[in-house]
Amino acid sequence: MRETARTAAMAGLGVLVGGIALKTGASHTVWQIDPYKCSWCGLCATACVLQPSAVKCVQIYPMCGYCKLCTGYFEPEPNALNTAAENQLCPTGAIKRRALEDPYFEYSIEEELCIGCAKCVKGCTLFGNGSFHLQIRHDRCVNCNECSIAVVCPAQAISRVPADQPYKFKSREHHA
Amino acid sequence: MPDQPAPKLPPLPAKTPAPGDEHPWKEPARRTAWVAGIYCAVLAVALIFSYFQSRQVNPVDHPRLVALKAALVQKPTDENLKQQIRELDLELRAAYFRHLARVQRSGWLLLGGVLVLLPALHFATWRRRLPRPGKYVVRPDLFERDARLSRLAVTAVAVLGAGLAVWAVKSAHSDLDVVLAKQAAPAKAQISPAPAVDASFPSREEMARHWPRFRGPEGAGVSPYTNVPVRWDGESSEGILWKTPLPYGSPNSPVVWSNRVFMTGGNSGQREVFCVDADTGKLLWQRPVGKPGKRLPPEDEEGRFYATSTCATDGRRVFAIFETGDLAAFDFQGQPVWQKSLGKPDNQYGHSASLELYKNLLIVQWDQADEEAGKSVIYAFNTATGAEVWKTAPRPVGASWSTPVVASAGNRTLLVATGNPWLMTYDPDTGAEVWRAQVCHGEVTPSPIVAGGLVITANEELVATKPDGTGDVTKTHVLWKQLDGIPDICSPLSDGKYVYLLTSSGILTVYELATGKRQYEHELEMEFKASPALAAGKLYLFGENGVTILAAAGPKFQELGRNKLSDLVFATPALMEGRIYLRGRNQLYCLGQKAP
Repeated sequence: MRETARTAAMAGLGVLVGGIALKTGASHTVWQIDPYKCSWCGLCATACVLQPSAVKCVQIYPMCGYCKLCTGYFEPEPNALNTAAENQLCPTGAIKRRALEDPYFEYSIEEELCIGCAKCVKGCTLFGNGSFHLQIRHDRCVNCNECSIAVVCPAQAISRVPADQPYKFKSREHHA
Repeated sequence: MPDQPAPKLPPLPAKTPAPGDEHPWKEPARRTAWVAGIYCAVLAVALIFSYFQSRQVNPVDHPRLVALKAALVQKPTDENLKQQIRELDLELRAAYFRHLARVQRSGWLLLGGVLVLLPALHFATWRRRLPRPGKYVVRPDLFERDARLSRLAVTAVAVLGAGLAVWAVKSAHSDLDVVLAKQAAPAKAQISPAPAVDASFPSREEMARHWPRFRGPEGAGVSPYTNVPVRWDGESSEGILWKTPLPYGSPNSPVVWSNRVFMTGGNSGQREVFCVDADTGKLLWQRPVGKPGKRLPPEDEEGRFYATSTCATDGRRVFAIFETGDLAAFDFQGQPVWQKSLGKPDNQYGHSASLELYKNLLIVQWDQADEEAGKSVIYAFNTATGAEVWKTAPRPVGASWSTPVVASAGNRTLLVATGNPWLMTYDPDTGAEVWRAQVCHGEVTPSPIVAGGLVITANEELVATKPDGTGDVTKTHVLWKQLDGIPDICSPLSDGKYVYLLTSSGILTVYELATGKRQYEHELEMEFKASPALAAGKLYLFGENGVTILAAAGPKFQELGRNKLSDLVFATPALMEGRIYLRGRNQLYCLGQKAP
């Protein structure tokens, strides 16, 4: 009986201390990718605890060149500059191409289809303006204590950032 | 003590548990556990199988696809190869997304199975606990009592723990909550549609008693009232009933219905509709429209105008459109009724055509890009719901900045709209084209008017077109054309006998409506942005510097007076019964004489 009471008291105290620790803990943070460190290895697509990954490609429109031959959209040496499967780099067809005024095209990401494989990011960064890049989308991310992608990221590009500034988007100013 | 033979013990009972050691649910629980266990095992095996299978259909760098694409580089014209790539690509993608859907579904099914399995296992393996050695050997009667107290204590701790856990979850601010709340914030600020709306609409006569749109009824700039103020002075405040500071210095014009004055305003970051009490000048409400964006630095905003389109009201609601493509309706209390986005138009100076109303239709001239692009259309939206009622066929015109008018002309009601190079008219009930004339040129900004049974346009040439044609009437219905004194911003004005043109550099040119004969040209030596207006036979010419010149309508120039305000004037004022609502750059002025 005494033993039970002691256990109960200890458990109660533990919960109380835990609660206080939770309230007074470090500032709120979430995981995010630094796009300037990312090396487009493709592990984001497979290492995330979620399937499909919470990492998605984002398009920074002010940086985009609206190229007719978009190196993030087309295979290297594309057969033709159209939307046929043999010409597209994205394995899931998540990039939508829309003709604007000739010779400009708009490229946007359909996040439901994007799996974060970074093929487009690699193409756009190496040969284009780098407007495609990866970000952890917080409407999907479950914010694990230890991000399983951060563990395997070869560029160590994933770190915790303040929750009120949850994204690290590329910007034209940064490039300038 | 003599040895006694050991007492003969009764034979051990068969291996059946004593009554009370067996849980009443044990047997059903055992069966349930078997079923749930097998179900979970099958699902787990299926998931593992699906996982390995998915590695074969992973569309990322699938070896066969990579090989086919490499082969295509060698044989770029091989249609058979292309077809194979397309088929395989489709197959891999479909299989991959099917796999993802299956995994998600199976996960939930497995969780359900485990939730059944665990309690079933608990009861299936339930056994009465034996008393522990110690005090219970001496006092076995204490065991039951202590066991009961222990159970109570554990339950109490569990309840306490659960309560604390709920409190912690409720009060703790999850990191993701911060992000998600931030993401959701603009969506919350969005205007949600009101449940019930008034579907009635005003008659043309009712519209004519108010100033419901840019340049008043039918966009003519003509006030039906004969007691419009003629004298005021900004310095002494004589003839000024009230003035009220405005939240934005946008150049759109005030529209007036009964005792409400509506305007819009904005900067590079946000857009608003606001309402002023016409009797007191009090700003009653202001409401945001569309998503706010990041504002440009002040030096980049310098010299630019935002919210250039004038709003419109049908006496039930006020409608506003902005250069971002945001279109919104509010009731007179400022409650949102509906809103939609038409998408940002391709327009080099920004959209500035104002809104027109006809019956229960809100008419939006949405010209953009160039004449070959086929992007220019006119929409009609239901004023009560915002639903699209009709849309014209793509208009063969480029971006324009003039406002359409719906007016009676040639025994029918026409929607008249100008764009480069066509003056086009439509049936306002259906949006079907009636006729067109190639009489517009350049950057079409002055709006058309209908006067004296003619359609008047002034876009690099002044043209009077008869309104009773069909099809292309360029060669058949153009009554006359003139080239002098054509305005670049201000719209033409007519009293039914003469047409008055005012250029932004201040040249007033007057033509006879029936013949196109020039009557006079007079230099006012002032800049003008506001379109001229007419009331009780007097022309109201609102200079950009705040000076309004009053002149007699007719074939000869005769100045009747000048009134000054210390404000810049870009917007065309509203001329109402005994009052003028004049929007300056900084203030809204209600001009009129105080009641004795």
